[in-house]
Amino acid sequence: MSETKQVPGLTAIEKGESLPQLVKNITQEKINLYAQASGDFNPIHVDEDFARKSPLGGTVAHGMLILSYLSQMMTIAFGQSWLSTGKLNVRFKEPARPGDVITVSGNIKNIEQEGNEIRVNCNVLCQNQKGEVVITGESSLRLLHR
Amino acid sequence: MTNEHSKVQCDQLDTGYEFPPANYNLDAEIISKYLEAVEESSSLYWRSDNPRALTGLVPQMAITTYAMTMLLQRLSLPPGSIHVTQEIEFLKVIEVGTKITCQAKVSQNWKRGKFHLLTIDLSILDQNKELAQIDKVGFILPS
Repeated sequence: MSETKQVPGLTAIEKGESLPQLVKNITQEKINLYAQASGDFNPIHVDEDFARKSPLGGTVAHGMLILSYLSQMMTIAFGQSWLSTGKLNVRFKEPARPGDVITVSGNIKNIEQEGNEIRVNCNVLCQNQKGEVVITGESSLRLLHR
Repeated sequence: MTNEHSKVQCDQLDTGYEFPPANYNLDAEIISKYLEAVEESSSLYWRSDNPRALTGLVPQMAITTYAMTMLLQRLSLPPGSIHVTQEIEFLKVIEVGTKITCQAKVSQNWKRGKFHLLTIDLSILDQNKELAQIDKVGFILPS
């Protein structure tokens, strides 16, 4: 697999290679901004009084906001190929809350040959500052084999 | 993204139920707002010679986000419901200005004891009726 296409954010496409890590600070302001952009004003995200009385005990970020960070990491690593051939399969394990620092990371799990292309399969993870898993799963994409 | 629709209750949903299709336009204002909200600064989306101008490419997660919003405007989830899983497959690059149609279908509505799982398949097409993205969304609902 030494002759694979160069991609923007990785030094090599090899099993075990780490994807470029991202760190994001979650604030209520960012959650509100995402609510406005997405149109999802569920009170568990934006109404602090409502959320405080709920079983979650406070507002939480939209799961799709955190997932967008994961997609950003894949875009940095693989560029436009991610936009046209990407796949994501994730589980939301814990909510992200205002004040959390989310680290988005991943690595190449394996590489499969598919005709004149390769499929790159990755493990992906979003964790908070306590090490709790917020999102876990797998991503993959196809790349032309040079 | 403020369409008003009557919402379908979860207990009215049989496997195979199809929601009315939703249409939306991925115009420049919507995409700029999305990119700013998710702090996306990639030169794939923002022009390097004018950082406030779009290149014309749509971030795929923006399409997913608006499809999810459309779904949640049509589906009444009981309090305590949790979005637990998401599968997404990107099938083609989409450009700013594309008119999108989102089709949603219940693939599983399964109850056993206190466990209630609802899974919905989303098919997202461009104005040429070509598939741009397919998604599978899973919710756990309180019984």
